[in-house]
Amino acid sequence: MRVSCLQENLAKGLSIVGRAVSSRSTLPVLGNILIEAKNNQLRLAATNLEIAINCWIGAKVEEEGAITVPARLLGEFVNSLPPEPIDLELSVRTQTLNLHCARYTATMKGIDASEFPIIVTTGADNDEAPALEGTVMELNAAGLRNMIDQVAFAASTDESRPTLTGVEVSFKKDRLSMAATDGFRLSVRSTHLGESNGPGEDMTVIAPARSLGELARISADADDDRPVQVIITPTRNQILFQIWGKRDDGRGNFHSVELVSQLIDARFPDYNAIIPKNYNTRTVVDKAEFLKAVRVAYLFARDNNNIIRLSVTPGEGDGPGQLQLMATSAEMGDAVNIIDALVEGEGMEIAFNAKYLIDVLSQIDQTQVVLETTQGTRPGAIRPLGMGEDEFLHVIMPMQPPR
Amino acid sequence: MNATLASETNWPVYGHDWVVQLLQRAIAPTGETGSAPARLGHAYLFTGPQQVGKTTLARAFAQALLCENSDRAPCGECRSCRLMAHGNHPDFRLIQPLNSDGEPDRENGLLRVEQAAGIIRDVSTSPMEGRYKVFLIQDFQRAHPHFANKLLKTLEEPPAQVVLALTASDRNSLLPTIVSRCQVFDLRPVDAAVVALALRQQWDVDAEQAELLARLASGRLGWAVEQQTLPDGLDQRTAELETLWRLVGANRIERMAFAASLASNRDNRRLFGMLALWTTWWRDVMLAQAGALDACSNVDCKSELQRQADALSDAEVRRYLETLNRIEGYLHHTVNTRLALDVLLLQMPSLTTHRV
Repeated sequence: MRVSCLQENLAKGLSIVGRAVSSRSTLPVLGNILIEAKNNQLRLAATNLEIAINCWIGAKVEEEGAITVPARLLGEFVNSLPPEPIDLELSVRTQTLNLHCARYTATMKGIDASEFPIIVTTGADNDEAPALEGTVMELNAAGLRNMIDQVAFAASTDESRPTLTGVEVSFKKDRLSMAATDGFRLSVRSTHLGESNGPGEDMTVIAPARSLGELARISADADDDRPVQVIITPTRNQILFQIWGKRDDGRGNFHSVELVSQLIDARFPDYNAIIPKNYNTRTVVDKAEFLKAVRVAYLFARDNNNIIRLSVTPGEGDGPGQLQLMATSAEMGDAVNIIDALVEGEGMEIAFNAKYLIDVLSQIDQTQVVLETTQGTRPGAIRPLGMGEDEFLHVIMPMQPPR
Repeated sequence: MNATLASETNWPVYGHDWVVQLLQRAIAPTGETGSAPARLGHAYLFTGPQQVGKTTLARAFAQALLCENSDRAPCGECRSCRLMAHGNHPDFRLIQPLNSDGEPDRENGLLRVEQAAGIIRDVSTSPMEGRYKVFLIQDFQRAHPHFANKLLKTLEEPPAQVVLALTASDRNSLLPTIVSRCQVFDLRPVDAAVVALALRQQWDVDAEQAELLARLASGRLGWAVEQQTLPDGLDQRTAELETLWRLVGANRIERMAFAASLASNRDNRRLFGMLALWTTWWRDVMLAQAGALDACSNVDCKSELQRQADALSDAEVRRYLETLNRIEGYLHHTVNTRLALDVLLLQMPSLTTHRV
């Protein structure tokens, strides 16, 4: 293998695939990054057996070949180099990779590329690894990123309940929806798919929230004009996302990225049962004001299990109603914040975890949000106003502070 | 890999033929080639003394299960077998006890509850390359109760593509709820002739040395292999035997001094190695007294064995073996090491008193 590429591009590619390198694996080869030179592109790949990331960057290939080298060493070395072309050359006999950039030269001992797990690809750029067949659909990159951001944070981090660490992704007719819950809160987000972009059949899979988080992170650098291609394998055990890099020839770009994630083989709980069907009180507030008031109350609430009490008072006559937020810390003191609200229905009190409120409010772009509640012991629903065809619903279980 | 290995199979395992045959039958495809094995269990437990070959066997089982040529698994040639041999198979997980820094530590480490959570999550996703995912959980006797309890449900009914293999020193050291969920194989010591054969074929040990190691190994091939890879393995044994002979002829003061130095070393690995060696020695002395010198382990010291056998009474030797066994048991628990070693040394049969 003999190839040369730009330091910025290589550094970018390594930072993308580096997130999939497993830091604590018992398999030596998983601590390495696969480098493959082919068709005038350099393919970088890493996997932790749950997520696998392939990244193609532009390069000048003089001789094709492949090797795996330690991810951390390579990443840190390339990051320290000046922004100039890097020449990489593989010595097949000793399985060592020689890097040369400006006045820096290094040799790294690698592991044979055939030891690396096989990662499925779309086959667009690669004709050796198995090309993936399955249900294909195309999604808008920015829209997808927004959906993931609004849902994935609600997933559980408790590994011993694998189902809840995932996000349910379902395609029904022409709608795509995502849902995640950790048992205390639930986020459901759906959007309309164009006629031709859907999978053509209804299907539901559970993708690890971590994988989707990575996808959102990578797609921040993507070309938002080109759709993300999503492929689900026929056996429903893997999902692949193909993301295209920006087309301009700026430095620090990638050509394309494919993220492959294992799917969680389980049944997602029926969350429709816990979505409140009606409400007694409907409170419309300004999102920014609400978020600010919650953040202030949180300063006191964080010493007291994050409990903040919300008290809704309907307006008298033509005057606006009020939403009052109270937080008490036995040792530090207490705070009461009041914001204006448009209240429909009767007054009521309810307590929420301040952290959960902050999490959801920070993910809402609209200026106004609605809080729908029935009573202090029943879950409350939050949704933004003015989403058009999209829908976003967040349900939070109330806390029951000792009186 | 080697046609002279376990009879009629090509498993990279020496000895344990009966287990290999049972497992081979379990993974054999029913009906036409490529169909799923119907008799495959979901969890296997391999028990047996240290270094008898539990992990080797479990790995070979995983290799056979993951092999791409199911009609002659493990073929040793396919990509899957190659990855297994290099420890890089993405569908094989080795879970080992960890010390408090998160580093593998088979002696004092623990299987921790976070590892159980990791396993539970890991079983919920499908294999990367093959048809199965194999989890090998080593030294289950080092499992924290929370680890074991958290794993119960997974162990009872893992997803169809998951096979769990456990190794442990013996089944009594595990929770009964664990054992009852597994198919248990109690590995027996490997025949000395097989150990000697293995050493000659696979590790190029010369015949005489192989014979001696095989006898000393008491059926633990792993031990014999380890001894021959250590540069001073056998030299150390010779030195320790000579110490033993010296102590047999020594007076109380010298013996107490030896006990003191041993206790202050705080080197448990060496201490238990020495106790095991002493046990084989006194057993050999008993064998010599019974006229069965040929069956002894320390084949290179027959004359010294015979000398001690003649000079000591068999009741004395038997009593001392019992003491050795008892003290070794105590030392595994929290006793005063110095006191235990004092007793051990003072009760050792003495050649000088007999001569008087």
